[in-house]
Amino acid sequence: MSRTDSRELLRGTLRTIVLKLLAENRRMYGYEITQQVKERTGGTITLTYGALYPVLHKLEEEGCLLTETEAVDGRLRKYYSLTPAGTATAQVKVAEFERFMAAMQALMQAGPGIANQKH
Amino acid sequence: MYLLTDHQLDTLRSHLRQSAISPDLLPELTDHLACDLEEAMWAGMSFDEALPKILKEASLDTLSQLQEDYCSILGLEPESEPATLRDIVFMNRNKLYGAYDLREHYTVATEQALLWGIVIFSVTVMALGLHVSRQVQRERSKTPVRSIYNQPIFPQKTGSLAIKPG
Repeated sequence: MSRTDSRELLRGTLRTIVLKLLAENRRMYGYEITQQVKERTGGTITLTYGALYPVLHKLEEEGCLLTETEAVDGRLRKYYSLTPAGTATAQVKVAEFERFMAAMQALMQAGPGIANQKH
Repeated sequence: MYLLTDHQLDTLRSHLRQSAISPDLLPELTDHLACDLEEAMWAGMSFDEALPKILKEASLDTLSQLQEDYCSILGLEPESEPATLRDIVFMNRNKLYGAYDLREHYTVATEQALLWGIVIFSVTVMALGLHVSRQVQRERSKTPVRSIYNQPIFPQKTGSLAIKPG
């Protein structure tokens, strides 16, 4: 898959990924999120900071995330955690995405299946 | 884990400051790139090798693209207009608690206040005028028509007041 294609696919799911990761970990900072996505997908998906931070800030604005800023190693680090509303949104989004994946899987497998049934 | 020195962090910061990245995003991006640098250096690169590699990825073009995406996702107006004094005063400050809004809408608020002031004042004056003139009319109609205007105020006694010469 080319880089631009995977970016297109990622765009719609980025919020779900962020919410899911934050639901599993109490609090994370941006770099940690990109590293964990990279590790868990074996490098297939790499989040760029260009894509990640706008989404984080948007979620914060919508009241899904709380932030704490701490001075770490001579610079500021911003930690994100879910608000109760964010936790609820995370559950909804993940469930939604699982349904979507099941549907996509069915769709992808349906082609040859239908062709076989006809004959 | 390798830690960047303050001087190395300053080098990174001065690059980021050249870009159009908004102050909301700057500290996080600094931290992110610093983490990238530290990882590269932990893997065995020297700072002088790692920095150009990281900065190539985060070129000024990339950063300005990031800033544009950031604005469009958050529904902010891209800062194409020149910064006003107000923007300068509120740079790096909390714009949400009200003062920024107050200043931003100052002109409109003043004009509206002036307009309403004029309207309310003239309505009050007109209403008072109307009330007074009605009251006067009522009082006039109450008093019997023994109008004082028909009687001379100074009944003239022509004889006594006549100036006699010499």
